[in-house]
Formats: sequence, structure tokens, C-alpha cells
Amino acid sequence: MKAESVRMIFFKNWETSLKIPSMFFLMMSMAFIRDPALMPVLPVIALVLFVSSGLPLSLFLSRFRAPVLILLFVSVFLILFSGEEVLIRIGPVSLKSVGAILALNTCVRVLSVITVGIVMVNTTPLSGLSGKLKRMRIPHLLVDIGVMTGRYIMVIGEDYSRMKTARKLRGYIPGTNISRRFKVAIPTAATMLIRGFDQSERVFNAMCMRGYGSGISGKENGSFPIKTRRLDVLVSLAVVATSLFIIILEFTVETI
Amino acid sequence: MHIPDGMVPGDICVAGLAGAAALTWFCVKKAQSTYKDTARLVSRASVMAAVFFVVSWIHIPLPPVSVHPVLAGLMGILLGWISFPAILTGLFFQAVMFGHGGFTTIGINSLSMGGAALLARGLFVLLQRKSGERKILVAGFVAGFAGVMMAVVFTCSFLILTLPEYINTKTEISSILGMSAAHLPLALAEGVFTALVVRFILRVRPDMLLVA
Repeated sequence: MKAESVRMIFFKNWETSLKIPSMFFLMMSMAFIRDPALMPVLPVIALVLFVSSGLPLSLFLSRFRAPVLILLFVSVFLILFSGEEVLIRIGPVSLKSVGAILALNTCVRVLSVITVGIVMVNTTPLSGLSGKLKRMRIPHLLVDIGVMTGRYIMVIGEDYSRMKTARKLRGYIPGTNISRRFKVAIPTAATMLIRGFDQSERVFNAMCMRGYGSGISGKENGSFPIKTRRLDVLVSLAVVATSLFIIILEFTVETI
Repeated sequence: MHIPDGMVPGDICVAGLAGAAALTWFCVKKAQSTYKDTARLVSRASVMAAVFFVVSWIHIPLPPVSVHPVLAGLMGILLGWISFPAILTGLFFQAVMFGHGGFTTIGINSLSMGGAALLARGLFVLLQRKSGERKILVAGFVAGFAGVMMAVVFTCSFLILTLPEYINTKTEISSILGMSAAHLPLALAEGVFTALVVRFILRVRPDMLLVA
């Protein structure tokens, strides 16, 4: 338990402006890998990162629910239609051997890249993230939109919960009648959109009052200085070197 | 309907990111000429992106299942040029909060969804030139329907056409058409949903339809 906390602390303290680019580069380089001979390398790298991060396995499993369906569709498609050589014939359906290898490759690559993504997102502290992203040359406009969207998802989400509670208190039971459910869903959605539109005007006025765009808010970014430790630089370099290594291997193995 | 990380080749991901960056820059430039003020643009894009994110939690009954609206068409109608950066932000939060889509594929996914939103907006503007509630109802339906169908066609094309070789073109095209056909009921439901929401807004706050 103690060892797990120490590992997580290292990942959380890993300077964001070094961690995000290096891990994103690793994810990108993993996406480049197509050679079946290199496939076993990807889950090993992902596993090392995941175990080192000390994140719980339940988080890992919960994040795989979303891509499973699309992964299943692509795998079945590849097994049925990829290549000519038949692996197994089940009645009128023939499963292709090339397709099976490609499906396995796709599953391994998707799982590995997603694992690195899970580590990257779940070990990055939110405090000061916007300032650090701006320092990483991410356009200020996009960072501001992202930060404010994150804030207002919570606010509007709470509003929506209140609307649902009020609806229930007034005796509304969803039921199975389609037109009845449509009659409720439409005004709910439209009311939320109208309220959001008005709220955006209030937010605009508040932003103007606080001097947004006048350069004052830009100085606030200086309150999140980059604290680069030697270990952070070394780990980031190791991640980048690993990424380059697998890309070089991919092209070298292909040419042999 | 979002492509997860690792599903498409790295070069396509890089091209997708470059395309999304270029389109974001273009949309922001276009929106800046409409909004005049960056603060107004940021507040509108962020608050409305959050609203759309939450509205997508409302489920539309589509027997035997219940689906959530995609809202590409409605976003295009109400946000115009800023629908693209708003969708990009929404996709980022979906990847962070629920694991839908991905970070390396965010460019491709935003091009599919955002591109569909912009095209749906174009269709809406084209069809509702003559005023009248019925015209706007039809334009809303077409935009909602087309928003889903275009997003499905773009996503399936990215997914199927970038799969490794050994699959013949005929199979690829039929699978894209098959996937699109499978989404027809969802697109119809989305079309009705969009049309009725647009009619509601037209009756209550018609100025919202003019801003974007």
C-alpha cells in the first residue's frame, strides 16, 4: 500500500509540461506499429507504465467499457473479410487466418495505447493545468474554452439533476410511451439550451468585469512556474527514447 | 461512434490532428468576425459546449433500446462556426471522463463530428431561407438527420478505409453502407428531436437562431 502511494506520488509530481508531451508521443508511436513481430513490446511498455503508476485495476477495467463494442466490430470484420486463406470454416462462414492476426494486432495496440492514455490522464493533477498547457504553447483560446467547459459541465449537470428531481416530485414517471417521453425530453433539452445561452451572456459580462483579454489574466500564468527536476527530465527522455526505438524498429523490421 | 486510441494508423492520427487544428483556426477566425469580442466567443463556446455535453445525457426512446442524442446538427444550428471548437472540447472531456474516443484520435473524431455539424448548419441555413414554422421544422429535421448520417459516414470511412490491406474495396464500401444503414433509425430520431427543439426555441427565444 505504501509502495503504491510512493509510485503514484512520483507520477503525480512528474512535471506536467514534460509528462504530457512525452506520453502523447509514446501513444502516437504505438499507433504507428503494424508489424506483428513488434506487438508483444506494446503491452509490456503499457504494463510497466500502468504498474509503475500505482493506479487501481478497477479504473483500468472501467475505461475499457466504451471502446469494447467498436473493437469487437472491427475484429469480427477483419476476421471475416481480411485475406483469402481460411483458418476455420463454420457452416457458410469462413474465418480468415490473416484477419485473425490483424484482429489480434488491433486489440493489442488499442489496449496498449488506451492504457498509456489512462496513466497520462489519471496521474495529471488539475490544479494549475491550464497555466501549464498555455506554457506548452497550446492556443490560449482553446485552453480557456476547455477550462470553462469543465467548470460549467459540473454546474449545468447539477441543474439537470435538479430538473429531474423536480419532475419526479411533481409525479412524472418516465414509462415506456415514446411520444410522452419525447414530450418531456424536448422541452427539457430546449430549456437547458436557452438557460445556457443566457448564462453565457452573464459569463461574458463577468469575464469583461474581471479584465479578460486585457492582458491582466495572462500574467496569472506566471503563478504556475515549471518545476523541472532531474528525475522528471530523465524519465521523460526514457519515454521519448522508447517511443523512437519502437518507431525505428517498426521501419527496420519492415525493410528486412 | 468515436474511434478509440490505437484503432487507426499513426500517420492518419497525425493528419487528423493537423486537419482539426487547421479547421479550428479557420472556424475561430470566422467566429471572431461574428462575435467581435474574444471573451464573448469563449463564454458562448464553453457554456454551450457544457450544455450540449449535459443534454447528450438525455435519452431518446428508440425501441427496443434507448439512445442518447448526438446533437451534431443542433450544435451546428445554434453555434455556427464555434460548433467545431465546442465539439473538439466536448470530445476531449468525453475521452477524459468516460473513455469515449481517444487523445490520438481526437483530430479524426472532431473532423467527423465537427465537419458534420458545419455541413448540417449549411443545410439548415439553405433550407430555412423562407421564414415560417413549417420550413424551420423541416430544416431542423434535415439538419439533425444529416448531422448524424454524415458523422456516421465520416467515422466509418476513417475506420474501414484505414484498416490494413487484404480487404477488397467492394467489401469496404458495402460495410460503410451497411453501418450507415444501421444508424438510420438513430438519425431519424435525432432529426425529429432536433426539429422539435428548434421549433421550441423559435417560439420562445427566436434570437438564438439568428446569433450564430
